[in-house]
Amino acid sequence: MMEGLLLIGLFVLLLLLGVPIAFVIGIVAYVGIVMIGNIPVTTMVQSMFAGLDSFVLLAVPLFILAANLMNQGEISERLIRFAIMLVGHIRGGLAQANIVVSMFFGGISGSSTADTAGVGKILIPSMVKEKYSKETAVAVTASSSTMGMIIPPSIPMVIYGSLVSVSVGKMFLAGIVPGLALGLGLMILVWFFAHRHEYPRHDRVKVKKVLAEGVKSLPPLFTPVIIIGGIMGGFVTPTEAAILACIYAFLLSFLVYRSIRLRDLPEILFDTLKLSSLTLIALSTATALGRLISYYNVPQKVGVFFDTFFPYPWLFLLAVILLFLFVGMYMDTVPAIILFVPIVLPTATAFGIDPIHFGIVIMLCLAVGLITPPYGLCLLLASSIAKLSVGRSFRALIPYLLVILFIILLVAYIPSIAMWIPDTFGNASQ
Amino acid sequence: GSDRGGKVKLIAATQLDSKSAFAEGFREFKKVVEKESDGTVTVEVHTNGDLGGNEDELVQNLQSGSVDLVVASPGFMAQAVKEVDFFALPYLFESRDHWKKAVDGEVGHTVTKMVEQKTDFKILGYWSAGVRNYYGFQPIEEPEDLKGIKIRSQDSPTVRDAWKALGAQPTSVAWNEMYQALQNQVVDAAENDFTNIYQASHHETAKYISLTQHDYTTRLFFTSQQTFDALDEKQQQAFMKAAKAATEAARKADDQLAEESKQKLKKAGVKINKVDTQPFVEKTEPVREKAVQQLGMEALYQKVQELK
Amino acid sequence: MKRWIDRLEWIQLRMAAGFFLLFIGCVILQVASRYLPGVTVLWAPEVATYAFIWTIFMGAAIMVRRQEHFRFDMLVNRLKGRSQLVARIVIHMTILAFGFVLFGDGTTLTQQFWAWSLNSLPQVKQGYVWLAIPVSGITMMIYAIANIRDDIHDYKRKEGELTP
Ligand code: NA
Ligand code: NA
Repeated sequence: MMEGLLLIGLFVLLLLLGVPIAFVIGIVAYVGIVMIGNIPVTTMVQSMFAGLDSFVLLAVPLFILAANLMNQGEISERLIRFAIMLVGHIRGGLAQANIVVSMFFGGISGSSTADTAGVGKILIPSMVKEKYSKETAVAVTASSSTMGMIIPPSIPMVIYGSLVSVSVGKMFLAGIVPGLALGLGLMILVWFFAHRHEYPRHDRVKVKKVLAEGVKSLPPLFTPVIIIGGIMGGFVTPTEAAILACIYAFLLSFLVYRSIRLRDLPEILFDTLKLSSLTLIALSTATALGRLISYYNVPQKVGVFFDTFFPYPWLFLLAVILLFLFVGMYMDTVPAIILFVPIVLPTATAFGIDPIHFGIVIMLCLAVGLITPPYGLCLLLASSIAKLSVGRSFRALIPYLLVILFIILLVAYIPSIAMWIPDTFGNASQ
Repeated sequence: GSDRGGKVKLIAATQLDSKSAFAEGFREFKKVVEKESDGTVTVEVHTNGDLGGNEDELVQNLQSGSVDLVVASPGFMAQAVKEVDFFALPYLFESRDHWKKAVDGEVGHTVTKMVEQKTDFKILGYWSAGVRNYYGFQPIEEPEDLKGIKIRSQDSPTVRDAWKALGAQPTSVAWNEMYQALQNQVVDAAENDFTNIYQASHHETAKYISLTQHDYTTRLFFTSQQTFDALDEKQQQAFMKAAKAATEAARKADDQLAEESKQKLKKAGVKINKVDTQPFVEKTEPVREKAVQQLGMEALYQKVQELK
Repeated sequence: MKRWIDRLEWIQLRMAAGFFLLFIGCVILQVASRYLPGVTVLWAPEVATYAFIWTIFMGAAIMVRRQEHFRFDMLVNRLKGRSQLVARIVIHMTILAFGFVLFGDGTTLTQQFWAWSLNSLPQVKQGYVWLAIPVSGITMMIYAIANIRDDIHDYKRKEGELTP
């Protein structure tokens, strides 16, 4: 008990001091293991190694690489242009296009922040130019980019899958419907606002022209087909899908659009490996902390706690939703998964909740954390692009947030929304 | 461990769940050792991979001392002692009795000694994870039926060579991606024991199990010399007694699980057919001989043959 | 000294990129071996995973130099002048300590598993894989010290202002 308090104190102290999160986790794990006394101190470092020793994790840098290759120049602009042609003529057309392009991007990139940065940089200024309020521009951009980690591919899902030992492929499939539902929900909300506040609309573009542009935009939009189709068809595992996406993105950017040159490649490679290291070294130290938690038998104790206070599955799910909404506010998605999933998973399994369904609910909750203060990366990014205070951005975001919360409840209590595709194309009872 | 002879807490860890045969064996070990040592040795059993999610890591953990008791396939022990891979040879044993005679007799004893000489590991008993059989979309009866079949096999060069020798095309797919791979016929077949097939629901798509019985599997139950040396004489006696009881219990649980799974598979409509294994044995003989030679285990291989 | 550190970072970044390319190559081989008849590369996934581990450990060290690891910097950024300098030095020292653990324990583990072999490539020693940890640890230590030196230097030169 004393040890626990001491470790939590150390954790909070180092964190608030500004020591990088990955190192805080590692140091706490190390100190905890030293305090146990009868197991070797090398256990911390050894568990760090074990945390990375998994083929499926290779998908993380590979998906980042694919998105980086695509994001270079032309392709984002082309997708945005196509989205505007598709939905620009609806009232609030540019806002709707912002959501649609995030769906497109969701199918290409594995993270939400990449979407906010890539799309926001272009669309926030154009929305402001069309007399949307900065608040609206930020709110639409940030809220829609949460789809990035729900629509496959998704880096948090790779982390969850490898941590819980469920098929990452099935996690991806389970994300499709909730991700699209999220997009649809946001579009409906924007439609209401657009009519109330008379948002501008673009001229309708002739169907022929849309089709022509569609054909030109088709190649990048083919990426999700490769990834989802490849996994659904069982032709490739997620890691292999990721490499195919990289090869495809490379050929597209290098040969078709000529938006990158060979000499750009080292920089793209360096950026990718630096970004992946940040995420994965945190996963690595968190694995060590997970071991420490097991040595202290914390999961069993937490299980007893949940059994006592949340004796029904629906109540337990609600508790988990609140837990992850809260955790997501203060932590990055990946460390949040690593730290808290192992604690709640045994109880979920005992209640007969499918770990894939459970995972999707958790992903959605953590996506909310991306747009809430104090540590919502998408919110921070979007408001800094718009040069709007975080407080005002967040106030504008609240209705969008409510839509996402509604979707979370739907997905949590109607499991078939998430499970329909993986049950049809995967194994129901793994 | 702690100072020799004091109170000792041992940590047993497996990547499998608490209903598995390994967990059953560990619980028996705990019961016996705690009783026989008058409570001076206690055991904490960790399941579900919470102290290491795969055998690779568990063996490494044992080496560094963060766990005290593990069970692993020969392939993983082979990271440290390559000779142990001997037990993973396809068609090394012809029946469960043959296997028992070998591992509980001189053959097992020789390997145990070899491991103790080359490493700090101490083998406490030979456990099993069932008998591995072929399963796929079509039943097979003779090696010719395997021609061009894409089969997911274990990642050991010898095992692969054996499938190649039989005419099949071995391929590697992660175990938890296998259901989809079968469903979409990326692979045509796989091989495993009844319990694993049933638990992964692979029979929902691959409805034929052919009793090729190519692997009466061996799993090594072991500890480290360091852990063992930290015990006083009385505790060591209790420890060895517990190891024996645990081995019995784990084998029994494994047989039981396999039988239960077999019945459940039959109930689910899976067709199980007998196979004359003789031609399979003959076709894979060169692979075994080559492997035995590479491992330097000719003498022991001879002994195993003689026990038939 | 700064030139030396930059040089070290330059080399390490290229090492990381080299391992990255190696694992990309291995994953491509793995896909190819699934679909091209006659190609069987048993070791591709394992080698890919170990090259990946090297990439991540090298990358993590480089990010120490660049100070780009995820962290809560709200409080530190509010501090000014001398107290900020002190806080930053404490952070660097903490990282230095962590690097020391990685280096020390990493060396022990590398020795412990030196002679073990890879599952799919019995001729390759595991030591080469574990070596990534002490290498990462010692470079983290070097970068942490360099960062301390830079901060003190900055503080003196700009009379209390630190580059964020
Ligand atoms: Na995505
Ligand atoms: Na958007």
